[in-house]
Amino acid sequence: MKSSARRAVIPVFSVFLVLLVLTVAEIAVVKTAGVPRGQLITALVLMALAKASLVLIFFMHLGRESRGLKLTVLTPFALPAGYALTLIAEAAWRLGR
Amino acid sequence: MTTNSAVTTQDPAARAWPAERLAGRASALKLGMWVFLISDALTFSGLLLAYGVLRAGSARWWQEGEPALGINFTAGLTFLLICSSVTMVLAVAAAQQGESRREAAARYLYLTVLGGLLFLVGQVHEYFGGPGPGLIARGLVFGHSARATTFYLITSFHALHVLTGVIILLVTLGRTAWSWRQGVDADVIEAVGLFWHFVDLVWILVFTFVYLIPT
Repeated sequence: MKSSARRAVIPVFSVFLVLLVLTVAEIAVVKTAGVPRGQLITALVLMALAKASLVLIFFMHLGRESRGLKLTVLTPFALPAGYALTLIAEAAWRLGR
Repeated sequence: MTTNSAVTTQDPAARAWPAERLAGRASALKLGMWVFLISDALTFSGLLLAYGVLRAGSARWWQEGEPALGINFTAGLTFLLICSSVTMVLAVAAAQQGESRREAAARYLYLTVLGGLLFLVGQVHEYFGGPGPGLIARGLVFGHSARATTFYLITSFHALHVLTGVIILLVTLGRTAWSWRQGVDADVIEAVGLFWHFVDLVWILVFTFVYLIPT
């Protein structure tokens, strides 16, 4: 394998290991008794978002793309993210009354 | 900026066209794939948001008699998809090295297809069982509850993507194994890779929201 290819492949295995560790951590958190539900959900969502970001940046190479392409890809997700935050805020307000 | 210098120097089209201000030297195929993935991601977002709204608003989400979802088994499927993403990255890297690495690219594509097929077999096993009853036989039936309906809707829509990915990968594998157009095929494999990684990315979110978050 050429050295440039090797340089490109090494981070892939590092990312693979991190993804593996995060998946195991997710299972461990779910199976740990006594974790408050809110903290459990927050931890799971953060780990899922971290894994998704790793795939997007390193496997899909978005980190190496031009600024314009990055913005084109990421900007549309402000809509569902904003909608999700609105729904979560509404549910928190409704349940807290 | 371009994503890979090997492609730009080998692909005559990339040499002929100067880098564009916003998209760099990304091929039309790659840009098209990104646009498709954005629209597909918004579809999945809609499904997951609807799932969240239904679940949060439900007085009793888990109906009596319905089985628990197999977290350990599905974690195995998640691991399988992550492995197939790694082989896909290796296939793209090999393809971008040119003709000398064509066999390696084909080999990694084959492993990626294998990972996708095993995932599908696992999904069928989860639904229908064998050996032993699957989720349907154990009482999680489409249409009988919001939990069951959203579960099958989201996971089968994702499985449809995996099946599509496997078919596209098989076509690409055939092209890579039996013919090779320098530079152009590397672009195709990269675009197919984007789709495959997207399938992996979506599953990471589905696994968390549908399987892991407790009732």
